[in-house]
Amino acid sequence: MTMKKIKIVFILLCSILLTGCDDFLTTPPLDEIPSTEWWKSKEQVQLMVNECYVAIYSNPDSHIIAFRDGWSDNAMWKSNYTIGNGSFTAYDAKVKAEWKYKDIAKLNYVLEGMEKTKEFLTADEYAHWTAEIRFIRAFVYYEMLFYFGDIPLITKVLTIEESRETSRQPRTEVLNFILTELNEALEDIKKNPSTETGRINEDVINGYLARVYLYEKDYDKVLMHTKAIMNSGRYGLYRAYDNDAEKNSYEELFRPASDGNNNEVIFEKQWSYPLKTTYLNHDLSPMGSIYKGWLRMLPVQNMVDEYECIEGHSIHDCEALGCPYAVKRSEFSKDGGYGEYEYRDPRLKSTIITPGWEWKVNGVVTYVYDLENPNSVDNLSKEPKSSGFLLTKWVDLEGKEEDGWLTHKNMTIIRYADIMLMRAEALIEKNENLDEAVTLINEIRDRARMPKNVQVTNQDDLREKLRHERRIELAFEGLRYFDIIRWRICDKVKNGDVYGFARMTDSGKRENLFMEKRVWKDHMYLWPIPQDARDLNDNLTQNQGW
Amino acid sequence: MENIPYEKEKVVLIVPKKTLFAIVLCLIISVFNLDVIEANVSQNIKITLVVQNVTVKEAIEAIKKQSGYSFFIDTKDVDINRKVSVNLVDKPVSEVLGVILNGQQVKFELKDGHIIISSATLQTDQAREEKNKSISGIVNDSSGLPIVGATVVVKGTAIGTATNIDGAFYMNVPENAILTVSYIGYLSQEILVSNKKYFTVSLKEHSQALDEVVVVGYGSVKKGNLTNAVTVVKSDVLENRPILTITDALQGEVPGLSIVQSGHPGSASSMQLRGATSLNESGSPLLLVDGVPGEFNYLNVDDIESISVLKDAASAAIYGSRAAHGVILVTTKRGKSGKPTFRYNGFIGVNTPTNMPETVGSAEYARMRNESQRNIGRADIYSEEDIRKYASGEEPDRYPNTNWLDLMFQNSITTRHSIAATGGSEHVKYYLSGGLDHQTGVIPEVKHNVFNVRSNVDVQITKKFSVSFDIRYILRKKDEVAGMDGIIIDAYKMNPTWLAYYSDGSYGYNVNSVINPIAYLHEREHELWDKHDASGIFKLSYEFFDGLKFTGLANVNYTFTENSAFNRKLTFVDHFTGNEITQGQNELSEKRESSSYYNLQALLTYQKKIGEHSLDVLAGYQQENSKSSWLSGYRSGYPTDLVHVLDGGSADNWSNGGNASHWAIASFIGSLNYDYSGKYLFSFKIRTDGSSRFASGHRWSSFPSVSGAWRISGEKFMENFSSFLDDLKIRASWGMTGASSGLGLYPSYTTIGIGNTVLNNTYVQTAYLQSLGNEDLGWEKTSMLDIGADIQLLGNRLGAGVDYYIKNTKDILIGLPVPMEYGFGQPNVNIGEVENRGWEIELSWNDKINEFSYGIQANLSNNKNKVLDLAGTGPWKSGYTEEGLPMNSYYGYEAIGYFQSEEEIENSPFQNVKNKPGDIKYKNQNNDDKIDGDDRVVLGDKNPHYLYGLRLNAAWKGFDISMFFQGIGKKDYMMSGPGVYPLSDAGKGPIFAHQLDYWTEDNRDAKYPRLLDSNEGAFNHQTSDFWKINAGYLRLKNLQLGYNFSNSLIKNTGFSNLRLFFSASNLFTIDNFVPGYDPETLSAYTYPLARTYSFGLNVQF
Repeated sequence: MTMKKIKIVFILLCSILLTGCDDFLTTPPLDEIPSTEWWKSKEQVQLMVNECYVAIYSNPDSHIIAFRDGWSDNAMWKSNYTIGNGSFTAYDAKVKAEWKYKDIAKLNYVLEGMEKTKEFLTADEYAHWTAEIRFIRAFVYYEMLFYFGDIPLITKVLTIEESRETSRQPRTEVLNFILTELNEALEDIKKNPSTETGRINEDVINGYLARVYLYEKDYDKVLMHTKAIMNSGRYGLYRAYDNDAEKNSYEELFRPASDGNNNEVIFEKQWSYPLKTTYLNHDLSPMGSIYKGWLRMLPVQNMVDEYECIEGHSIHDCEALGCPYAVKRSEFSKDGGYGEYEYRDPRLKSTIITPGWEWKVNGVVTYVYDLENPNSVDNLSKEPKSSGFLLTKWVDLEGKEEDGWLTHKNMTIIRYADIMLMRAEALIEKNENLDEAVTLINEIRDRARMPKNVQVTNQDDLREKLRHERRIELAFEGLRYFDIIRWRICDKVKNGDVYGFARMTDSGKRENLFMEKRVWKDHMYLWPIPQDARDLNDNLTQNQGW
Repeated sequence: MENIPYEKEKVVLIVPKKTLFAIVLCLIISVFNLDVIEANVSQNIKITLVVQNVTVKEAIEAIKKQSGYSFFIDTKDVDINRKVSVNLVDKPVSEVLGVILNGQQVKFELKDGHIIISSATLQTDQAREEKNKSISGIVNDSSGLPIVGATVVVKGTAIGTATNIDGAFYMNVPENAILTVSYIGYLSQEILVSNKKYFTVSLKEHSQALDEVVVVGYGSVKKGNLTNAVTVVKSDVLENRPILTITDALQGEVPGLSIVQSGHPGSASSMQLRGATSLNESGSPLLLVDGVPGEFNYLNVDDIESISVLKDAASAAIYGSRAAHGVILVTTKRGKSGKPTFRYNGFIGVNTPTNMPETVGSAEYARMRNESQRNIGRADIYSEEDIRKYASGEEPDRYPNTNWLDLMFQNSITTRHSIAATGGSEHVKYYLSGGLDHQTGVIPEVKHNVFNVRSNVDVQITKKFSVSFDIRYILRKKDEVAGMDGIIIDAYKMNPTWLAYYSDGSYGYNVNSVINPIAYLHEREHELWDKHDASGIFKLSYEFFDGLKFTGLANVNYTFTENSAFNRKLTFVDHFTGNEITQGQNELSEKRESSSYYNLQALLTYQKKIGEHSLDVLAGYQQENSKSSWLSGYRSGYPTDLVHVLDGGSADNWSNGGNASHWAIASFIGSLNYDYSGKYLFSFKIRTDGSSRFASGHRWSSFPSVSGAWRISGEKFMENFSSFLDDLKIRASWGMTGASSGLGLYPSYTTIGIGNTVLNNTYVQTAYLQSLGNEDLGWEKTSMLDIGADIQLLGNRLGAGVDYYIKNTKDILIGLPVPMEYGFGQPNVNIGEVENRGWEIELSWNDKINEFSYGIQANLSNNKNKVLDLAGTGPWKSGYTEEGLPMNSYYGYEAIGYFQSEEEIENSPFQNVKNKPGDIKYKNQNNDDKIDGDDRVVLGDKNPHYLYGLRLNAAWKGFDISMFFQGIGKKDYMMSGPGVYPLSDAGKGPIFAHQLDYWTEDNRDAKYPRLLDSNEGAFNHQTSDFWKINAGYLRLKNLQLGYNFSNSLIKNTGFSNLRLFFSASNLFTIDNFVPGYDPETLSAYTYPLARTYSFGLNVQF
């Protein structure tokens, strides 16, 4: 063979081997689907849209809805005190967790993928599905906007180069985008509607628009969107136990039995009843309970004090008014009892576990929350971080789970009482139709078995009444932090010393437990841009004061 | 009489005067020879010899070097120690010899390429030479065991025989014949018959410095001919030491190889060779056993013949892919023909914790806890009465004083037994072995048993055709508490006021500690883990004609892992309330995982020697693929904890899972080695690899390398130094290697994953973008330039080796840090360039004074890591990486002492609203009014520097002692965790004795800031140089004493070798670390290293 022939044979041999090798070397992932096989059927679109719901409160702390009250004057979030007490910085993990561009990118990807589906979807199907995605994206954006102010506005899948060009857009620009998206989604969602709970429908969008407009102080729009829900006739206050002496409707609304079975909840984060998927019980409960709780939410004395006496006035006024509560309190408190928690707004015991609280299952006491008995597992020396108060709202009191931890309670995002209070607030802020506002507030008080004693007075007085009612009715539903920020009252309510329950001291007198000193500075109305985000993107400026 | 046995390359080896060998042998002959293969010497070779006042022996040595002749000297007749001076340039050998031997009654003659110097009076007539005489003898190895099948040939003739089963031989030979005695694996020896009739020949094992055969990529090479930076660790270093794993054995032995041990039985140590190359992974070397990847760490250490560590790219390049972090080749032992011999090796050891931190007692803890509360304005937790009771211990159930670490970490026993048999005929040879290791650490509840069997069989089917078949099976059984690491962490977090046991012996219930780790350790969850690992290597070679050989290899490695974890419901009784508290539930998780790996190799080799030129060519193809899958199941609701199968659980609370993965690599291999006269050595290698990790079109890449060496000592002009210089070689190499694995198995694929969420109050399936692939991804490439030199001096007593290298990695496969707003995490890219420069020095001295021999081996290395290029994307602030600095530098605040007063806080840039005197003060780098992210600076280099190892050994008669020190000179490390943060875990954690030195008004220059629980003090725990230490250390890794019974003592026992040894490992450590934490395992909270005292036995029969 000539050299040339050898060469040809060699090249041929190599190419045969190499082609064979290429098949040998093709090993696609076995547990995933190549993206080239996607966006080809309705079923695939449905799966993709379903995943978008994960972006609603995608925080690693799955109970962020309740935990967010720890940033407000309602409570302390155990082991995560910094945002509550003002010592947080741009490094704070909770701050970083709210920088949700991972979710935004995921939603943008699905929205772009939807473009490939137009040929096999009807126009209505397309409109409805994109409306769900666009709503969720606007929802995620608005929370970020609220925390951080100016933020990058990203509405498509970015290339690496484009991501390096991103920078913070003015708040108004982002807000306009959010409102436009929500309003367009509101029209599109009505097409091809779904009746499944937990999904976005026109009431959800109306409710959320009301919330955004309320936070942005556009009260006319609040009235418009709350009206739309009220007129739908689909919702009302949950009053299933109004005739039950043992149970009250307000409390039962937050027990698992009400899931999928009430007319008050408009939008919720679902945890799959009857499958048990979250550690909610374990996170919130007392140590000595069957859930061996971690006490992650510690309500403070100031929150407890906000609950009126059963007669319907502030407990600070009871003495002067000669209210029976003042008398009964001192009677009960003799011999070390906890009289101050009795004869109060029933929502106190529906929401907060106070010292001496009894866990009753079918009327039988199975456990007592006893902080001052040295034999009690909840004794203060064993858990010095305790404020003496814990949550009963959201907790499943009938749970008897094998491992004592898991639960399945859906968590409310928007409910009808909130719609009513938003409407009342808008009316009061506009200082018109105050009777309607008062009626709305009284209706809520009535459901809670409180006297309907709010009367039409003046705007300032009603504003205080409304704010009180919001704090009590919506406690630990994740709204208080947003309220005190938008009302610009943090300098008053998030400043100074915070106390826990009044415990018996050696002197024989009860003294409130000092919990922590809180510091407020006005630059905290906006959070710092997370340091990690700034480390990765030089264009991101920092908020003033941080 | 002087006895100088035949030694290739070794000039003179002095053997004790009164060996048996010496007594039996009447006429002792000293032989100098250059090489096994006879050089084609010219009769008229001319040499130059200019020496003053040297011995005859030294002069002859010099002649030998220049001429290539070997010499036989009858030392009975020749005074080789006589001093002579010579000044001859370019003269025939005969003339030079004449001058040297002038005045002695000797003659010299050339015969069969040898020069024989003997008494001038000896008859040399033809008739006498031709006269046959009958001789006999015995051939032994150095331990006195007879060698069966050794060949004894009269040199230059066909006369020959083999030794019988007793190692004896009988033959008729011409007088003055030269006998060549040889056997595979031993140095051949030549003996001048002269007038002796009976010979005892002791063959030395083929393990001497330069002729040592070093296993390198797809072949082997004589160490003297190496052109690369390769460190070899031989079996003799591994044997006789109580080690269980190869990594234990390698630690400190190989310059440039950094090993971090794990104390946890069954957890492999981590390895890194010549620094971190990639930006994305630590980079463990490629580990091959007999040419194929496989279980490395749990191989039977006694099966190992040698370990080659290929450090430069030129030696590793033939392994192309995955070789960027170096290659470690393990060669196992093979059979030797002859009578079967057995070897047993075993030891028993006791493990104790190296250095546990000392915690303060409960009274002191209570007092300090109160102080930490007061520091944040809160009331005391413990009353004076409580503290008094903690101190007095009067109510131990209510006021305990528990030392959790003492309860957790205890002594335990480790054992090892290994037995091997070897033997065979000329055609079939076998090596069979079995080993049983029982490994424990310092938690007796954690056991790891390793059962090892191996069969290596070589069959010579025809003269041209041979096969070998190696099978090994390793069964690893772990029996431990599930979540062991978590329990260790919990034990470190427990404080002394919590109770482990009530005084009646039942487990203490501490409500707020969540768990009682001691109860968990003994009672809760048990995990059984069995890994079956079977590997077979079938290898055949066929020699077409002299020099051209085909080798085919097929390897199948199958592993099967069974995992079964049973969790028990625990019931505690609270002694104060009488309440029963249950924790956990009876549940069972099972997992089965199987993985198969196939490796096929076809190699064609051609070896040719033409005169001084030798050529060695290799071409081949290799393909590897692997697939693994797993299946898991779970049930809870077991009515008892006695049933440990899934069917025993409740049918309505179960789950299952499963997944699979696969990959493939194909490679073409080529290499060419050339050497001229052993002086000029050159090698070229190339490998082309294709990896399934990349998209079609980007799969293939070629990795070439070249290397060369010059043995300067072989040159004539070096002869002047030959009296003290035995060998000198300089080497240089450049090569390229690749990596494909930095980004997982499928970085080029964009895929959709399936998940689930809850909607309409039920589970619904979801789909999401799982990964965004990059189809343009290709190989990461590392090129390395290595320059080195090896030298042997003073009769091979002093040896040294140095290496300097520059290693450059580019197109690094990495998840690129991009703005978080990109949203899809870190995209997969090829980017950047990282350089590692370093040097390595090895020194050794071995000498023998009468019966006392001693040796020192030392090695030192350093590596400097530097990022050269980040393609404009740097600096990366998380895992701080900036061009010009080592990758992953420490980045944070510079601490400038403590705030000493409120005024100082007021007048300093704002740090935190919670600051009080006694907090750490950070330096304001940009002179603004606050301390924030912009005040961070680079604080240090995480990489270890100045790695060293030092071995001292000595032997006298049967006794030997060796000490092995090992350590790191410098390494920046940031302390963290409960060892430096008192009251960790939000105040529930312990306080260690060294933490008592904290800031107070009266202790302003304390070691630690004011007392706060770890949550409250988080601002003091920011990354800052306050917590930086030098994590360098010096450790006496091993001390060993041994005794070898002499042959005469054990003659009648049936043993041919009997050795007893005692060993202690991790005996002491000098470091700057936080007391109680190990500088080697680095982190707090981990399974601690053990100090082990062992006693062992090693016999051969």
